[in-house]
Amino acid sequence: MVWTIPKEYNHTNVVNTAPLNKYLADNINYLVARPSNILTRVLTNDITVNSGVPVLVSPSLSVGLTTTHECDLLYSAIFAVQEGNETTSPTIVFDVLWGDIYLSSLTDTNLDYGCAVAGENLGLNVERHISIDVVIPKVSVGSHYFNLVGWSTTGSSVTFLSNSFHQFSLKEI
Amino acid sequence: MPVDYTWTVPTTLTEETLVNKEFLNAQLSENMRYLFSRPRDVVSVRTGAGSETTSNTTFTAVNVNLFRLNITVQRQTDLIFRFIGVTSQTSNNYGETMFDIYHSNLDKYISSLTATPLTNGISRSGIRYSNTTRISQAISVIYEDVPIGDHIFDLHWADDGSGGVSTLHYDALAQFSVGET
Repeated sequence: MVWTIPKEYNHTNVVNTAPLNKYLADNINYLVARPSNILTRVLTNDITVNSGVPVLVSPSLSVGLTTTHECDLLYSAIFAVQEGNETTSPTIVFDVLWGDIYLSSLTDTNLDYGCAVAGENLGLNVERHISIDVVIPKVSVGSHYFNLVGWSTTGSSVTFLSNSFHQFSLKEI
Repeated sequence: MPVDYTWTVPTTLTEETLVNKEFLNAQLSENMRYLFSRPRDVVSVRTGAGSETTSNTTFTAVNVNLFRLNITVQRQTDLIFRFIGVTSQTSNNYGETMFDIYHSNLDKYISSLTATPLTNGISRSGIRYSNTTRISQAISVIYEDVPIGDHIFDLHWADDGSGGVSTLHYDALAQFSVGET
């Protein structure tokens, strides 16, 4: 459905079927089901990230949405990871790349601890669920892609398990 | 947050209802704009440095200058709050941090709906065995039937009192938001 910015009425407006369909029916239909993209990913294989700097986890965990009007977006992610090394006490950090900018900083340089962490001493083969909800105000018109990136601050791998639940979504709010 | 658009309770039309420009602008255009841009307030700390700390075992504001939300409710409605941040404990044994949301103008916590928060607030989590351990905090909670009016909400927190100090770090994104559901 298409959203049309509501008009200001004056004495000369004729309210017939065309404007009623456009400003009433179409807009209500738009508002009752605003654009969203929900990606619930069942991984074919485990995905392992082993990097000391932010790297794309996998294109399969990216989510996009096209906005037709300036609006607020909610980026949500829930995923499960497993630490690959318990002896180095690694911290696994996650951020989200929106084009060339990180959601943590809204610049092209990420904050040191991004948007979320899986803490040290998780223990080998211990799984942890991570949840990220970030409101992004006043997103401009266009196509927007959000890519999960991850890295370790102290040297370790992190694995996204194929038998765990991973969901990424974008929604106009 | 200032009110962007005014909500007018939709009228049930009768044969005597005069559908003029004032009616259409209020009932159709303004209400549509309201529904497209529903009231919301968002605060984000992206400084990359600095932190807040507490060793207080009773709930207090994290920082009213940074984590205070203002929202005008034009009709009784449900609100959804979200908070994400990264915390740690200075204790080398273990420690936990609790978060709650304080409805300042009505003097009540969302965890209990009274002036006294639940012991563990809305969330309580921590980690053991390392004084540099960091943990993600993520809260999403719905607050039902908020009455018409201007409302102020503060993020509150408390330490579990196990000997350490709770720290909220600004080298990670900290965001606190409220909006109509």
